[in-house]
This record gives sequence, structure tokens and C-alpha cells, in this order.
Amino acid sequence: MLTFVRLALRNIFRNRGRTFITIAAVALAVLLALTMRSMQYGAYGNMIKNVVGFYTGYAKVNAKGFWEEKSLDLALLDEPSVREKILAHPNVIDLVPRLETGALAASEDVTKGSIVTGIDIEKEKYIVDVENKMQTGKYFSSNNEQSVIISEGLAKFLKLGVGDTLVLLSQGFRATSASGKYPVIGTMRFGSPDLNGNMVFLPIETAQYMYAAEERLTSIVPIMSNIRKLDQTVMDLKSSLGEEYEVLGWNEMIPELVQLIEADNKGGMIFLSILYIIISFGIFGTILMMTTERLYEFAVLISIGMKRLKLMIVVFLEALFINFLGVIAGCIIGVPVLVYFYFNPIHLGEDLSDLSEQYNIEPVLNFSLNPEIFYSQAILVFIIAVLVTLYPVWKIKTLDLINALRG
Amino acid sequence: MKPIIEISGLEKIYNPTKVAVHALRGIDLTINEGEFSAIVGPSGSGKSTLLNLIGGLDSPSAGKIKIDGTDISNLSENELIEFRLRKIGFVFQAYNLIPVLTAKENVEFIMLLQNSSKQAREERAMNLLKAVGLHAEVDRRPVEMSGGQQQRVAVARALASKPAFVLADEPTANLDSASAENLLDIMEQLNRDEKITFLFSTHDARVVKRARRVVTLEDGLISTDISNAK
Repeated sequence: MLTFVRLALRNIFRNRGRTFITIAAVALAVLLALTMRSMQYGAYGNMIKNVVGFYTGYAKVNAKGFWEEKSLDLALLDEPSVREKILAHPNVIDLVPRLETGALAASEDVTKGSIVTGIDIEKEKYIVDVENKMQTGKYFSSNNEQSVIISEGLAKFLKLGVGDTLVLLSQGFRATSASGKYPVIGTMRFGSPDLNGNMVFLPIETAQYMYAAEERLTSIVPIMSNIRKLDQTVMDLKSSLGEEYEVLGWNEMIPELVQLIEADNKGGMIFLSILYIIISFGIFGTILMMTTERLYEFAVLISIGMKRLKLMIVVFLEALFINFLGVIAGCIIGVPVLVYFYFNPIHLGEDLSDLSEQYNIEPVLNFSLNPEIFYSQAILVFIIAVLVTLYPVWKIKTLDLINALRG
Repeated sequence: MKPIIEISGLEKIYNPTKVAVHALRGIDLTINEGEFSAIVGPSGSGKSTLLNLIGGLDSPSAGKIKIDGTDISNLSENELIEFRLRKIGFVFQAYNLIPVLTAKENVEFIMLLQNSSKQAREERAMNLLKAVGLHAEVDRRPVEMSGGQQQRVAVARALASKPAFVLADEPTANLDSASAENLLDIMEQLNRDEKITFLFSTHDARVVKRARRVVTLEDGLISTDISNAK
């Protein structure tokens, strides 16, 4: 067997030009597949970050049944023991408490249904980061400040500006009446038109007071150091917090986004399939050339007594070596390219920038360095290349000795 | 003399279901041990077909071929490959050798397929290369040797398996005069000294001149069979 391996290795270096072309074809295939998949994964990451990271958070802890009912009556008691349990998880670095509910927002002449979110003015920087999205006015100075910040779209609809007064009317905890009159100290902007037209932010203690829900929260958002461990963290928190609480990952909170990504992924797979077909033909071209050139040689070897199976093994080993080198070369070239684009994402032009902002997605083409991309694409291209290189093996199996010896 | 090749009623028909071409129409031929024979004939006479059948590269439409006492007409493909490996030494017209192996490795290759020990392989390869006058070129690859030298390596390789006979298909066709004469000298010497049986298919007058038996084919039949004891 060792001799056949040696023979295969020597054959690789026999026609260096042809070997180089085949390796280059496989390497290019790996590079293209890696880039395409990395861009896809990067885009999904961006979508998740924009939708999840800009408002809901990657996970939430609620009282049981809250997510289904969305009722303030199911707000959880803000107990230190709950916070401690969540913070005890090694992947959780901090918590963002929230009181989220709805209210009728009114100015002098106009009213509109709105989403009211009571925020911890420091901790909220992990998620919405209202302070950095301010368009006019200033950010809150304390958690019990009696003022509001509203989204730009809502301000426009209600014809309000900084210094004007906003009236909120709603139902509080356990059917109490909730109302308040607050000066608008600033406006902020969301990329998403939906959020931009509806959001009202109150300091958390002010919101708890208005809704008669002192020391209650609708959700606690755990901030994680490694988002890749999200599923595990959610599972761990579920078991540590017990039945009284529900812990939801973003994929449970926003199944529409999961479906959107899955649909896009299917489309991406079609494009990838087309790429794989092109790759297959590229590799097949060089293999076909190599096979045709060597038919006489194969016939001589079989004539002098080499069994077809042994010859097939030698040629298959050659193909394996060449494909392996190609895949390794593709990964070696691919890693710095993807690392570069990971740290230097492609910023879209002005036109596309407006469009993507409309859909609440950053106007940036992100790349992913998820290791799964590397091994999945490398293995896939390797399998394709190996399947293509089965052609000479099949040719040896069906070789007509007489015709091949005639040349 | 022991018969090495025994052919009786050999026929080969190509395209039997369409336009049938009768390449061989009933050949009876016996080649004995130690012969130095040539099969000659014009193109289309059936010369190559006969050689392919004797070499076990093709199967006959009718008739029998016995090599060293074994009827090869009904052997399976794998049995034929094994039979060729042990009983027949091949020298082809050109591109005989494995390009990535040295002269010595090329000769050893046959013995490797026979699972001979490393020591036996090396010893026999060196002896054979010495016999064909290439003891100084053992580590050269085919590309580093002349056409004549390559054919001499091919002869050494053909003999490596200790075959019943060597089948040489136009072995001098691509060689210049000096190389061809040199190759024939070596083959003749091996035949004379080692009693190795050689069967040539050739157009080359130099081969015909040296052959001690010349079988001429015409239209798929033996037209003459002349022995010329030297």
C-alpha cells in the first residue's frame, strides 16, 4: 500500500502545471464558497443584531405566561435572589431590567397608541442605547426623573418637540388607572419605521410609579459575554430559575426572524448550489484532460499485470492528495481574506444605505468567522472534488484495453 | 521442445451483430520454448489482433489459446490480469514505463505486484538491468533516458516476473538504427543464453532478419510460416 501511496504522490508532481491548475481550481472553489457563506452568515448576524440587539435583547427572563399574555399583571417581582441567580451564570455579565407596556400617548390635539418602556438609564446602554440615538434634547439624568424621551416618528405624529408635554393614559398593575404628564426632554431615532413611530422611554422608577408596579419588571434581559453560547445559557437559566419564570431566546421571541433567515438561507443554498456546479465543471475540466492524457499509461499498467482495483486506488489517492492540498490552500487564502472583511466590513453606498435603514438593518455587509463555515465549506468542496475525481476511477474500471493501447 | 503457445482454430470477429469484420479466420499456431519468432503482415492482416489474443488482452470469438498449458480463452478479467502478470512479459512500442519511477523501480514494480520480498526484488532488478547494459542508469527516470535505454528497461521489466515468454509489439518502431540493433542484440543474447522465448509483432526488417521463425499473416490467416535455423 505504501508503494501505491508513494506512486500517487510522485504522480502529483509529475505534471506540475496540471496539478497546480487542479489545486488552484479547488482552492478558488473553497475561497468562493467560504466568502459567499461568510457573507450570508454575516448578514444573518447583522439582521439578528439589528432586530434583536437594538430592542428585544438576545434573551429575556419573564414571569411565566407574560410573553403570551403581555399583561402587566404578570410582571415579575424584582427580587435580588432572581438577579443573583441570573448573574451567577458564567456567560452573563450584566442585567438590563425593563418595564414594557403600552399607553395612549397624547399631545394637545393628537393621540396615538405607543409602546412605553421603562428603562434603567445606565444598563439600557447595552441594548437600545437611547443616549447615542438622541436626535434632539438630552438623555435622562436619573432613574426617577419625571420626563420622557420619544421616538422621532412619534414626536412628528404628535407634533411634539423638546420642552413640550406628553400625556400617557393606560391601565396599571392589577387594573389600576395609570396616567402621567411628562415633559419631553429629547427625541431619538430608530432605524425601524415601526419602532420609530411608537416608542416612549421613561426612567424605570418613573414608569414603575406611573403603572403602580413598584419593584416590578416585565422582563430582565441578561447580557452575555458570548452570544454563541446563547442556547446553552437559556437552557441553564431555565433550569436554575425554575417553573415560575420563563426564559426565552430571541428565536423564540421573534420566530418571524428565524423564518426570514431560514427562507434567505434556502435562497443562499440555491446560489451556493450553482456555485458548486460551476466548481464541479472547473475541476472536471482538468480531471478530464488528465484522464485523457493517461489512458495509454493506464492500459499499459493493466496489460503488464496491475489489477484495475489497484490502479483505481492509486489514481483515487492522487485525487485525494490534490483535492486535500486545494482545500487547504483555499482555507489558507480564505482565512486572512475573511478576517480582513470581518474587521473591515463593506459599507454600502448612499442609496442602499437609505434602503437598509428603512428596514432597520445597518447599511453594512458584514462577514462571519463562524468556524462552521470553514469546515462545512471545506468538507463540501472536498467531497464535490472527490466525486468529480471519481471520473478517472470509473474510466479505469471501464477502460477498453485494446482501444487505449491503440491510442 | 515444450510448447509455450498453442493456438487452434482461433477466430476473432469484430461487430458480430452489425457489419461483422473477420479479423482472424481460423489460426493454428504453436510457439515452442526458446523460440525467437516474429509475426509479420500488412496492416489489417490481423497481426495486432493475434498478438492481443495471445497476450490475453482480448478474448477470441472461437478457438483456443493455451499458454504454458493453461487455456486462457475462458479466464475472467482478473484471472487474465493475474495470468499476464505471472506468465507474459510485455514490451510495447513506446511509453512503456511508469514515468515517475526510476529504471530500477520500474523493473521492481512487476515483482512488487507479485508480492516478492524487497531483497529479492532489488537483487533481480539489478541483475536484469545489468543484463540489458543499464547498471549505471538504475536511478534514472524514463525522462532522463534515451528511447533505446527505455526499451531496454522495458525488456528488463518484462523479464522480471520470470514469464513463459516475452511478447514484443513493434519494440523497435520508435528507435534509431543503432538503438534498435542494440536492443535486438540484447534480446537475442537473452534468448540464446537464458532460453527466453520472444514473440514479436513487427514491420521492422531488422527484426525479421534476426527472427528464427517468421509467421506471415494475410487477411486473418497464416499465409507463410518459415523457420530459419541460425
